[in-house]
Amino acid sequence: MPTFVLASRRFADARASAAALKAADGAWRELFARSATPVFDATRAGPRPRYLRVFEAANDEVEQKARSLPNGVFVEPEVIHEIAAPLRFAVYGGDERLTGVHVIATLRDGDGNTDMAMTLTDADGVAQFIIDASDCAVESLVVHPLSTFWSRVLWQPIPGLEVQCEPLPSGPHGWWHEFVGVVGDDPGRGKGIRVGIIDTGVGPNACLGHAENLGAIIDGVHDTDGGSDVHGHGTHVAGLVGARPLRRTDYPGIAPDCSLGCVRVCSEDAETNQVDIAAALEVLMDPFAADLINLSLAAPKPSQVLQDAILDCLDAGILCLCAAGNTAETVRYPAAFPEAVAVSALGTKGCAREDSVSAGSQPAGDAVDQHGNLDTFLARFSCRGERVFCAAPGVGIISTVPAPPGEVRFGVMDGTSMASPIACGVLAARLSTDRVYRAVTRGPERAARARTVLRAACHDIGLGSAYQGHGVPRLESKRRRR
Amino acid sequence: MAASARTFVIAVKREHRGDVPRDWIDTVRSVAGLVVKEPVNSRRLVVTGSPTAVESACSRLSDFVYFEELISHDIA
Repeated sequence: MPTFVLASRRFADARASAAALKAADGAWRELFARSATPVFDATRAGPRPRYLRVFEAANDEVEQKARSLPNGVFVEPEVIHEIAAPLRFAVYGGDERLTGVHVIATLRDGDGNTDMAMTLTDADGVAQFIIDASDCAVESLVVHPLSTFWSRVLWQPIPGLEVQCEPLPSGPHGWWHEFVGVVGDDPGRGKGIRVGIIDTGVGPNACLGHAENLGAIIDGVHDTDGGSDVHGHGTHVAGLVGARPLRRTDYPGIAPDCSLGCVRVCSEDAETNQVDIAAALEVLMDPFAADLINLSLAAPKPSQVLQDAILDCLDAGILCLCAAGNTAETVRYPAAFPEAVAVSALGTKGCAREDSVSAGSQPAGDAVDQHGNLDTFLARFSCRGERVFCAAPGVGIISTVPAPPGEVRFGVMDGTSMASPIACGVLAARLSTDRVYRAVTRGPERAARARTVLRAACHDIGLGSAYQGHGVPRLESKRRRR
Repeated sequence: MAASARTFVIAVKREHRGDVPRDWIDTVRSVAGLVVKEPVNSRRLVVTGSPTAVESACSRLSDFVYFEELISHDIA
């Protein structure tokens, strides 16, 4: 049976409105009350009176009786107005629905304007966007699991789609290991070298149980218990330098036997400032006594405060390796300081699943100069320029991410943030066997020797110096050592 | 109209770390319109205030210090 609404009109004159309400009530009693089925009554009195009764009745009956309604009273079919329907996407990893996965939608409205919306999958693995689907469409969807699975990029996904994320490959070696010359198992790489990491924190992850958590420095306050990772980035970076595998399938760091010291300077939004970074450098100088420090952080303009702190590190014999930046512009700071080592990011053909975010890091098809030997390329996002000292893998890189205590998890990330710790790991491994370096006392000469060793470890991969600097640092191959 | 308050770092120049006046932090604190954020560090201070106030503080400390705005750094 169809549903109708019987209502009184509203008039500017309150008395006219009250009269219409009274007339509507009379019409209900006389015309509909006996034959119609009431649904609900929303009549209200007061200063703005309104008669409103919802009922079910036959169409022809209502049509006929509507002709005899008094002035100020009307009847109309019920019109359903829905709230904006949510767009839902279920995210799967294998047979499991994945919870807490970042899902980013690019929305395009009828005028061609685009907007971004982000959400997390809920306990049922469902990502829900509350948008007016009549006014805009989802142009693309990026699904980013924190660990274990590849990300997915979907173009013009159909609402309700089930998004399948494929599992990451198992270790022990990824393409980046091979690329820098890690062959076979050598748990002693990096022995005796102390590497500092300034990032979003570290762990927990059982492969990084040996990392020295030096706390957090946020707004100048050093919280010695606050060094756990608040983002995931710092754990990934630390693992690339020095993760120690517990199982055959775990990915090792490039220098698993180095000593890691980690300071968190970023809050949950993954931002920091030069003052907290400078304070973290001081902690890694003393008491940690780092040999190398990795800074996978970048800003568009230089800070004298940060440059001074890096100069202090050099005086203490510490070389700072820095991510060049991910804005595809000239190298950012602190990487661009001449005292630092700027590392750009490379990919290679097949380094990531084709439907993943990582796969979008290839340079544009006409950028021939950004393709090097052995199917390598400068990552589309990588900063470049004369300040680039060396290049290292930075696309489709799998490393440790935060996990429940005692557990191990790996996730994939892209960025010069990944390239820098890989170069740092190679340098740590090279320095651990460099007799000259080990013999030099802590001071500027020691940092200079580290730079020299890094320079000598670089291999040309056929890219311009603005992209690769001196090339890709590699470990000594066993064949060459013989 | 007064310039809106911004956040700056006032830092001791590397070459003057040994001879900066011992009361340099108090000198900064004494400048009207500047708020020194805690905790303080013997080499640098984070302050909020107008550029004019920061310049005034630095001019009182001659060539011993410099200042710059707080610069956001992101993970790369």
